[in-house]
Amino acid sequence: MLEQQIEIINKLGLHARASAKLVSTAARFKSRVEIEFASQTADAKSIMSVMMLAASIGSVVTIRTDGDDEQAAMDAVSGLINNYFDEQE
Amino acid sequence: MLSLFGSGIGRGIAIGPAYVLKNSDIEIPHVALAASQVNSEVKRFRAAINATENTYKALLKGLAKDAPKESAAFINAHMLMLRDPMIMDESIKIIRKEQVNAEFALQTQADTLIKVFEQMEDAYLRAKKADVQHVANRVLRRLLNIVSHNLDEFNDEDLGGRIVVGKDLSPAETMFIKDRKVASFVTDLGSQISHTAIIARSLKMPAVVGLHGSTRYINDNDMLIVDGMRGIIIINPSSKVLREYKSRQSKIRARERELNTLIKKRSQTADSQRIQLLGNIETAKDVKALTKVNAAGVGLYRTEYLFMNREQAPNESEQFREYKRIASSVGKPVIIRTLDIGGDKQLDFNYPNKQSSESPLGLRAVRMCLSHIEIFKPQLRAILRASAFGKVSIMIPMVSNFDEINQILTIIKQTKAELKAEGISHDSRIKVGGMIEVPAAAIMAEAFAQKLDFLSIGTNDLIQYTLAIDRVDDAVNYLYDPMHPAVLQLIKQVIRAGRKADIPVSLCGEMAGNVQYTRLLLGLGLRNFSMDATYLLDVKDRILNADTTKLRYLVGKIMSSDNPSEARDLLTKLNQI
Repeated sequence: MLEQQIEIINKLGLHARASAKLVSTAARFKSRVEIEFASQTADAKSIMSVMMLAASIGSVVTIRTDGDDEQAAMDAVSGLINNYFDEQE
Repeated sequence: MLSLFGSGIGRGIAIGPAYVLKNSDIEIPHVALAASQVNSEVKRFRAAINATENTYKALLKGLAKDAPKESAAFINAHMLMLRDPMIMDESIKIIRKEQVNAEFALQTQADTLIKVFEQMEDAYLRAKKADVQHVANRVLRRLLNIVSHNLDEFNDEDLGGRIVVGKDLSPAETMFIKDRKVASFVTDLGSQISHTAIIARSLKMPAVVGLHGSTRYINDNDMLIVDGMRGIIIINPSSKVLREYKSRQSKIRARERELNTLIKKRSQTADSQRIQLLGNIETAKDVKALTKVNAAGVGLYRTEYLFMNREQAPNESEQFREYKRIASSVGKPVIIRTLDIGGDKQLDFNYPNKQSSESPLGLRAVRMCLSHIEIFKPQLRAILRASAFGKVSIMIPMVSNFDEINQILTIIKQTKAELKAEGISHDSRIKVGGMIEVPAAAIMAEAFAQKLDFLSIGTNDLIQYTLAIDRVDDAVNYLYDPMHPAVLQLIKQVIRAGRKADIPVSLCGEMAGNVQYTRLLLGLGLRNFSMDATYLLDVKDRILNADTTKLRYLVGKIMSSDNPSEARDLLTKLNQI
C-alpha cells in the first residue's frame, strides 16, 4: 500500500468537475484508491463520496492506493491534483 | 383548425410541428413488495439505470462541436453520479432490505445524500444537491414512464424545425433555442418587450407570446403556423390555409432579397445627413450577420451572455479571448457593455452576497458590478487587454448618479495603471460611455456628458422606468408606450446634451430597430442607431428615403400633442411623407 499527503491547489477545490476527473482517473486502475480528509475516508472511485469530502483549496488530503498497479494509480491521481485538474486555475 | 391570438414578434412566418414543454411533477409511489418480487424489482431498477446511462451517452455524442466545454463535463459528472455506488448500490440495498419499490428506494437514498450536501459549509458544494436530484429524477421518470420536455442541456431530442410551446421561457432556455435550431416558439406569458421577445428578434425568428393560457389547446406534434407579424397561431391548418401561408412566406423572402440590394449603399438621408447604423450583439456568433448587412460597427455588445448558463464566471483570460476575437472579427468600432445582470437576467452560479431579487429597481447592472468588484475587475482587465487588438470602447449600463460615474472612472484608471505596470498592452485612451436608461440620467445628461466620452440611450429600460411599468409584468404591459411625450422629451434632451458637449449619442433599444420610429428619431436629431442586424436594412431603407428638413414640422407637432391617438396619426403621416 502506498500513501501520500498532497495539497489541493486548484481554486474551486474538489468540486463537481474536478471530482469527476479524479474518479475517472482512479477508475482506470485495479487498485483500491482512497482519499482521506478531515478524518473522513472516501472511495476515490465514487464521485459522491469524493464530493462529500468537501475539500477546498488549501486542504491537505491523504491518498492511499493498494493493489497491483498502486504506483501507477498514485502517480496518476497525484499528477492530476498537482496539475490543477488540467484546468486553468 | 384553430386560431389563437397573442403578441407577435418578427415579420416572418414559421411552420412546423409543436414541441410542448412539460415539467411533470414526479409523485413517488410507496409499494411494499412480497419477498418473491424483490429480484425482479432490482432488475427493473438496473434496467432504468442502464437506459438512463444510454441517454446520457447519446447526449454526449450529439453535442455540437462548438458546444461549451462545460456541457460535456456536466454530463460526464452526472453519468458518474448515476453509476456511483452511493446511489446505485445503496438504492438496491434499500429495495432488498425494506422490500420496497425502486422509486421509493431511490428517492430515500437521494434524500439522505441531499441532506449531507445541505449541511456543507461550501456554498458551491451545497448547491450540488440539485445535481443529485437531477440525476435521480432522470431515473425516476424512466421508472414511472413520465414524459418530460425541458429545454436544458439534457434534452436529447431533435428539436430542429420544431415550434416550442410553453408557459414562459427563461433567458437561459432561449439560448438553447438558438443552439438547437428550433423554428419558433409560442408562450402564454411575455410581451413584445420582454427579454424573450428581444432574443426571438435577434434570432430572426417569428414568435407569438402573451397567449394567456391558450397554449393548452396545443398538443405535441400538432402542425402549427406562427405568424409573427400578426401575432396569430394556427393549429392544424387546413391545406388551403397552409398553401396561403407558404406563399406569404415566399413573399417575405422576396422582400428580404430586395433589401439586400441596399447593403452597399452609403448610409445617409435624402438630404445627405450621414447616419451611423450599428449592430447589437450577444455572442461572437452574431458578428457574421452584422458583417453581412455592412453595419458600421457594434453599438452594443451584451457581455452578460458570456456569463449565463454556466457553473462559474468566465475568468479574465477567457473573457479576453472572447472580446479580442469579437474586436478583431468585426474590424470596426465595438462598444462593449459591462455586465448587465439583475432583474430578469440572473446568473446560474453563486457568488458572495448574490441577490436574486428580480426587481428592476434592485441591485443590477453597474450597481451590481460596483458591489462585486471581484466579478467586475477581471472584466475590465479583459476589455482593456482586448482594446490593443481593435477599436474597443467601454459602456456602463444603468448609470444614475455622479458617484457611480466617478467610481467607474477611478477603477478604470487604476486598472490601466496596473496593466501598464505589468507591461500589458492596451488602449490607454479607451473611450468610456454611459447608458442612459434611468430618467435621472436622462435629466442629468448634460452634466454626465462632461464626464463621459459618449452616451447611448437604452429605450427599453428608459421607458420602463419613466412610465413606472415592470417590463415583465403582463398586467401593466398596455402602459408601455415609446410615444409617451415624457419618453420623447427625455430622448430629445439626451441627444441635445450630446450635441452640446460634442460627444456621440446613439440609441440602442428596441426603438432603434423599429421602422415606425426611424423618422421620428431622425427628427429628434438622432444620428447613431444601434440595433439587431435583422432590422438594419429595413431601417436603412427608411433612412435613404427620409429628408430631415421635412421632418421637423410634424415631429414638433408630435412632441407637443396632448392626445396619444392624435400623436399616432401624426406618426403615420410622418412615415408617409
